[in-house]
Amino acid sequence: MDDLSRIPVNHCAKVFIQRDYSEGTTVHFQEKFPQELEGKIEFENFITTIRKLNDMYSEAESLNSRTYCESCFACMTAYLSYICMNTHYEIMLKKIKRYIEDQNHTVYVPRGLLLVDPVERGLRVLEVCILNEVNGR
Amino acid sequence: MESTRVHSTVKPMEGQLIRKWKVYPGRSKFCWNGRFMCAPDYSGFFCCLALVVVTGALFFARDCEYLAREVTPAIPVIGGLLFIFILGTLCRTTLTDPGVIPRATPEEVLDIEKQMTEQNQNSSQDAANGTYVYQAPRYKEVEIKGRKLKLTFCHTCQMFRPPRASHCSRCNNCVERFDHHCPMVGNCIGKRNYRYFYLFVTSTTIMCLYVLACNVAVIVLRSLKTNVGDAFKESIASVIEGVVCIGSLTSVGGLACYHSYLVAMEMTTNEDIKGSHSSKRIKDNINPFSHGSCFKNCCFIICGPQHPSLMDRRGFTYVQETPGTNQHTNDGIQHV
Ligand SMILES: [Zn+2]
Ligand SMILES: [Zn+2]
Repeated sequence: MDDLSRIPVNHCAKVFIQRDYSEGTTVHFQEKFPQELEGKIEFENFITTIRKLNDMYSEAESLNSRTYCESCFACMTAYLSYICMNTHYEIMLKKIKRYIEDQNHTVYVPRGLLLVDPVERGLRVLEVCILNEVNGR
Repeated sequence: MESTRVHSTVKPMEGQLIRKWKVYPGRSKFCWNGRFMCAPDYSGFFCCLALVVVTGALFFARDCEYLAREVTPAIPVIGGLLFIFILGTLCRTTLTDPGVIPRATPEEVLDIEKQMTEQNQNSSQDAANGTYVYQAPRYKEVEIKGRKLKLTFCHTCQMFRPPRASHCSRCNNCVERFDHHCPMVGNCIGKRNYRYFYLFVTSTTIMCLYVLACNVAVIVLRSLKTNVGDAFKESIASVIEGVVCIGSLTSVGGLACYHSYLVAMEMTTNEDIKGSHSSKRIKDNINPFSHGSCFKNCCFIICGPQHPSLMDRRGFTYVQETPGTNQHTNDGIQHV
């Protein structure tokens, strides 16, 4: 993973995938293929990545028995348990980070693209950097 | 700029490598090296804390001691558990990030402006008679579960506010699911600490009622042994606690009822004041954020997933050489 962290991304062109709010305020990115990426990556690959990301976010935000028990336990301990315990959401975010790194390594960097973990942009956008295009400012 | 790994030995090219909370452009205050954050007007928190601790101390020292001897030792145990719960939720409300949305990066701002100018050119080219006038972007329409909502552009944070978010002018941040800015606890109330705030308000109401009941019991028990005048003289502490509790109940009790209603309806104070989901103005104006039933709404508020802080306060960034722009981004840094 060392080479990925050394790619300078601050001057390259960027494409932003915005959030899709049609199902409420849960984290969900628009599942459409941006024009700027045409010819740079296959439609299938890109949509699969976005779908997978959306699935992972919706799993993190769902109210399943695990989060339910976790929250009740935290409430019982007057929320002191959060000091030494990772929440389900945090564990999912780590999974997502690993997934993005993996996708970058196998799919995106060989095609001259780089995904930025949405959590670094406040879950507002999914940033796709086009590495060999300079941002025309 | 050369990109460097965060945890390697640092040779800062521009300025130094410092924690992000130190360069955060909002007015929020941070403590313990960015682990905790609160509003700039946090003095209310200490007043609240002092009131809770002093009343609690009086209660445990005088009434509990008497009642444990005369009635049952369960009384101080229940009181103690409630007291710890109140302190825990109060500290959580004040010290957690309410759900601040980090400001947009310069690239994002450029992208938004590009889109907006394209839109404006398409729509108002003829109207502007060839001379192009840049208009600041204002709204973006989205549809949530079939209901159209307008997202406003925040000029301070340089982004379209997500639905339910609002800019708190005192903290100078956009906060997700903004409820209100609470000077009493010294923080904004938003997505991440609404649960703590609600539990604090309800548990304080229960504690007030509990302490009041104990005060009455102490005075009645004492007046059974001697006369009423002596009983009041002996239990001055109970009278003081009683007055404090009645005073607190008038504000906290009302808040608890109001917020219980809001929780059941899955609304925020902000939306309730603005009447965003009220069906008086627009017919069939249902709340698109409701989960369906009151019970489900309560479950989501109290037991729902705890959202992580998006600010990455303890992450590292470079100091940029141009101060005053207030745009500190992690240029070139990839967190691995
Ligand atoms: Zn704002
Ligand atoms: Zn505020």
